[in-house]
Amino acid sequence: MQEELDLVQRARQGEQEAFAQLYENHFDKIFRYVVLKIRNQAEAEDMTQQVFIKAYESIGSYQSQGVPFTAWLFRIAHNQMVDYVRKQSKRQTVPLDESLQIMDDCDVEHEVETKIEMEKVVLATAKLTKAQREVISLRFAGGLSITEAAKTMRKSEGAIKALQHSAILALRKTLVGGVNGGN
Amino acid sequence: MGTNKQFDNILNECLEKLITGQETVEQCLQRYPQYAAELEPLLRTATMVNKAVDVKPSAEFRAKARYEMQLKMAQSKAPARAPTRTARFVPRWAIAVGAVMLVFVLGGGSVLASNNVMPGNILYGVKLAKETVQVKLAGSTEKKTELYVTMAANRVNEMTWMASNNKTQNIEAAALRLDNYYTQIGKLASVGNNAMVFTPYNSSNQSNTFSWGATTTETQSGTTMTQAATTQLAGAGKSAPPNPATTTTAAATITPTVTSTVVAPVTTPTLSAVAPYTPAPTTAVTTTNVNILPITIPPETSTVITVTQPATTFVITQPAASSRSGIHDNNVSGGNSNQVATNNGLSLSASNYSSLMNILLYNSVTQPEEIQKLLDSNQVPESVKPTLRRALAASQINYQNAINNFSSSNNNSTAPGNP
Repeated sequence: MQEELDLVQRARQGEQEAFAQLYENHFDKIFRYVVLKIRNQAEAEDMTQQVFIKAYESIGSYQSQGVPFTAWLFRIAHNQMVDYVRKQSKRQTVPLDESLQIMDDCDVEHEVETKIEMEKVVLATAKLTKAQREVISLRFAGGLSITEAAKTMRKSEGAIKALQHSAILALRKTLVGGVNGGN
Repeated sequence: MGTNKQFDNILNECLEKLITGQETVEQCLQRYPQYAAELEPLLRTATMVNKAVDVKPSAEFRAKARYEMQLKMAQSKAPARAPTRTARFVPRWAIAVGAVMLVFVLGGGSVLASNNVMPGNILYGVKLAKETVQVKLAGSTEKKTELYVTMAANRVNEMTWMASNNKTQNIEAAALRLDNYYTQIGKLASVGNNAMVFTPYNSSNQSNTFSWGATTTETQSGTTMTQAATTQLAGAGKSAPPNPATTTTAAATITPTVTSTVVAPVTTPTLSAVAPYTPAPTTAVTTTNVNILPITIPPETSTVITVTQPATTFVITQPAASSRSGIHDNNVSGGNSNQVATNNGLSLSASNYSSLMNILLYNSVTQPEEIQKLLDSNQVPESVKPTLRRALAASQINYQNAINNFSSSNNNSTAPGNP
């Protein structure tokens, strides 16, 4: 954490290597967060890049003041997403991109299964409320902690935990078709 | 309510450990047996979600994105500045107004005077700004392509000057710009924006290891492309031996014959051999309906490059001194003969097409040659050479793609000389 604070401070002072390190640290998280929401590899790639360019242009004006860098970065991503959704609102949603690469890519069969699972999850998250969807995206795709997610969404940690609970419950209903029974 | 809060906390605690791999679902349930029935389905769902979203960007994108970010950082000296709108969102009228203001504020003399300045000169920024404005104002694909070729020629010229004058500190910045221009040239010619545009960055490097900046170690792609470059240049009288692995496709596409009236030997570099891992250009030039396109031949010191294809001959003329890019401005907007649909949906007249092809073919040979000379020289610091190699690779791939794609679109349309 302290290391990140140092990096942010150095990046703010114009040290490009520090920003490059921040870029490397957060690139995959931002990509996963974006791709889960817009479900298109090419668009997600473009947007991920835009997020970092925006961050690079704005980091001079970033002031922590209780907002961690991660939360600030995800807010940029969220705002980009809002713009994107606004522009794309008239378009139909597209199926999950075939070219999406799964982390464990050594097994083709497994990869296909995982893609199917992701498609299911993406469709299920579409049925969540905006806030629930955001929590799931930040926590699971973005890998943010409760504190970071709370800062990003400008809500209390308790509220995020409650949203997380209700979101997983709703996903369970959609994915499995029932919540009782425990299995 | 208190119970809900307590359960939310327990669920979150289990999730944290589950997501980070510190615990399994079973271990968590063992710790909270009283909540097991309620926890288990939620944790299993969370596990499924966590696994499903475990996607990664493609290696190509990761490399390209890193490279573009590096370029962005190199272009702007420091990140610590107020947010600005990127140029791509600036409306054309604003650019035009800006250009006029730039000329007005700086004075036309300054802008004109900046034409020949070199990096380090106080007017160099004006030169770059002027070039950028010209590209923004250019209305057509071929004009933009020509401008990027000119800009690339300028950067190559500047790098040569810097190397020979021992002012090497700005060579890398020039090479990065050069690389960007080549990418743009490839993009402009790409079919429906779907054709691959080569950006020579080590795409196999997926680790989070920090490896940016001028001291970047030599990448695999850089090495490969350098080898390819020497293969190409071997035909132009260079010492490097041809690499059989990269010359197997020699007869496939364009076979330019370089004939210099200054340097005696007649040589035959093979463009199709310059790219051992050309990203599968499906639009290789095999036939063209142009027979002979005579281009103005300037006097004495010119170099003539004749490019021969099956049923095709381009005669390319190097201008004597003024422009290394071989661009004749009067060819850019002129022409009213047969219209050729370009890949980007614009139309390109026959004369513009021939002019553009000449420019591309000429520079596809001369610029890599100049970059290779820099790489071979001892005047360029070793730390800069990886960037130069990437620029060299980008020049070879993107010029060839541009030539192939423009030729292909010409073949698919009404070509000059084709009834």
